[in-house]
Amino acid sequence: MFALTEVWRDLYRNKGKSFLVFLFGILVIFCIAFYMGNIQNNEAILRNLSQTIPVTVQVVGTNGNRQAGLEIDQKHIEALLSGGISDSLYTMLAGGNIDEKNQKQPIQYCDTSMIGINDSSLLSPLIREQISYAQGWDESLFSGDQPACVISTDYASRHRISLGGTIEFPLYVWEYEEDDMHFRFVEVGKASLVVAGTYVSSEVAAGNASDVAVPARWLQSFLQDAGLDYTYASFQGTVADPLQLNEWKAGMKKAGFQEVDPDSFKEREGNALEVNDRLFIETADRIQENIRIFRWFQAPFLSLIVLLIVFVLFLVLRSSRREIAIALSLGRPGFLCALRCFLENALLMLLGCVVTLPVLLAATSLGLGDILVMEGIFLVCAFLSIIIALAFLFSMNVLELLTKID
Amino acid sequence: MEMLSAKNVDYIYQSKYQKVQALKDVSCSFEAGTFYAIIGHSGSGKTTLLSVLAGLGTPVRGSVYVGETPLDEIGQERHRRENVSLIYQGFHLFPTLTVLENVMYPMQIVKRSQKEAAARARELLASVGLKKEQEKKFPAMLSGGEQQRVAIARALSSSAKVILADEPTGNLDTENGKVVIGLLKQLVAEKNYCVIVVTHDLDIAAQADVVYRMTDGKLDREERAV
Repeated sequence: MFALTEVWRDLYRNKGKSFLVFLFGILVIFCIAFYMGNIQNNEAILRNLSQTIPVTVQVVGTNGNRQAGLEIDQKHIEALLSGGISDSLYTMLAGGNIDEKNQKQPIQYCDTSMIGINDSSLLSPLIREQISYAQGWDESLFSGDQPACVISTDYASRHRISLGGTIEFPLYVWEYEEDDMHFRFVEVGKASLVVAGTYVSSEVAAGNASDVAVPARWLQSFLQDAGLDYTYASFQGTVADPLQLNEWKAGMKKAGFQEVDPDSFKEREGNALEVNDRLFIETADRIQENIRIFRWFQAPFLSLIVLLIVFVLFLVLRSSRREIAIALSLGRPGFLCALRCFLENALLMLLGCVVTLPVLLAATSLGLGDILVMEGIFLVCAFLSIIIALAFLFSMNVLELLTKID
Repeated sequence: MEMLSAKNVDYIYQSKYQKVQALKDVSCSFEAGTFYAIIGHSGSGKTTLLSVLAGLGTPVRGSVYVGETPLDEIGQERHRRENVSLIYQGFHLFPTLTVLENVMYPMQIVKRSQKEAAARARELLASVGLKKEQEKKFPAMLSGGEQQRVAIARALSSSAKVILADEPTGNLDTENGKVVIGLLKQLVAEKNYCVIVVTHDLDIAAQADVVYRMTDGKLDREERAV
């Protein structure tokens, strides 16, 4: 109890010295917070790098020349969807013959081109902005699996179809025979689709857009119900965890994807991947190097902090040598004298932590847990330093101050 | 009754640049109810002897005894707490403690209650002639004489019956010096204290019951008429 009274009394009556030590503690905490905060910030940037620099993936043909109109089999698509790809966008192609005269076998061509998409962003912006939807429909129809479609007004007027009406036609898929260099059409069944939206676009005349856009999931289930193997025309997405990029690439290689072979003549087979990872890798490498350097210097930095605290506290404690000597000369055990000095300075350091906690929370992006860890590290350094400083002080003959040797 | 003694004590003072044998085969004894003076030139080893007797230094040969018990067995810290009290030329009061708190300090070290220690400290301050209104002052607010009286009161607050005083009047004027020596002699006469004073002042030495003379680390007792 007397020891605690002594500590409080000494802190209160030596306000200048107490304030100096307290301020010094705050300064050191900010230095540690700055250093450790840098590491934390870099790590956070690295963790979130995929959001600022996404690694996009595109399925391409074997020789890399084609990104659309491919034949990507289901096995590859499933590998991608289950293999850590997010924000996937894919298309499927089919055709139909709305004119009866074109429905006679053998089917030579399709008068209605169909594209199945899983997101309205796959439509060209020009079309997307112009779509007028029937009541109860909006662009979210493409992420569903309902039998609905969006057509151009030109197509609608040619075939006398109105918004909200229904179109029916036999649906075909085709396979490209590379040997014969022609398409073979396979009838799947009769498609009956509600016209959920229409658009006016000159691209139709130019032949850049399909006549009918449907939800890809509807087309998938239509083809599955027919018992057909089907392919996808295009696929792109974002690697969900680019920090595991090498592992992901190994997984895709195992799933049957290969690197682009520019010398190959095959361009429709969708079994190669184009990964846009260069910027991400360069940036991630730089950040990781920064982190590595900071971490490497962490121990020397903290050692320097300890030395600095030892030096400053030694000077502060040295100014109390006379009081310590008087106490020792009165028979106060040396251990208790040292303990009092330790408690005084430890309390000031702890107070510094309490005061800086809300400041760091408000002024930095560090979380409470991170700040507490940093302040814990500071306190360990501070306590260790106080002990070292006291060891130096008591290794000197403080009692010589009281007795001049004559 | 022999309270404190030194037998065949050698003390070597080791500085950074030199080694000095400050005490050479020193033997002396100190009894209750006696006023001792240790005199000698500067550098003769007087203060060193006082330090060794107070347990502030360990001799390289020989021993200090408290009664029949060697100091080694008692322990230096306990010896300073229970057996001896020190008074210095420079007063050596705690600058951040009040007069009352300075006198209470030795009692609080031995865990006497705050209330008891304060009451006893007030008595002691009154006995050395300090007024009640001075007890809340800090040492820097007092004169040299007043500070030395506080130091004496502090010396009396422990249970020790031996007072070791190193040039207690060295920083005081003649008048205050007389007051301080008077207080110390009063303790010897009235309370059977053993007071050992290191001094250059031959007038003080003349008032002592026993005088020891220190010359180049050697101690000789001077015989004088009672």
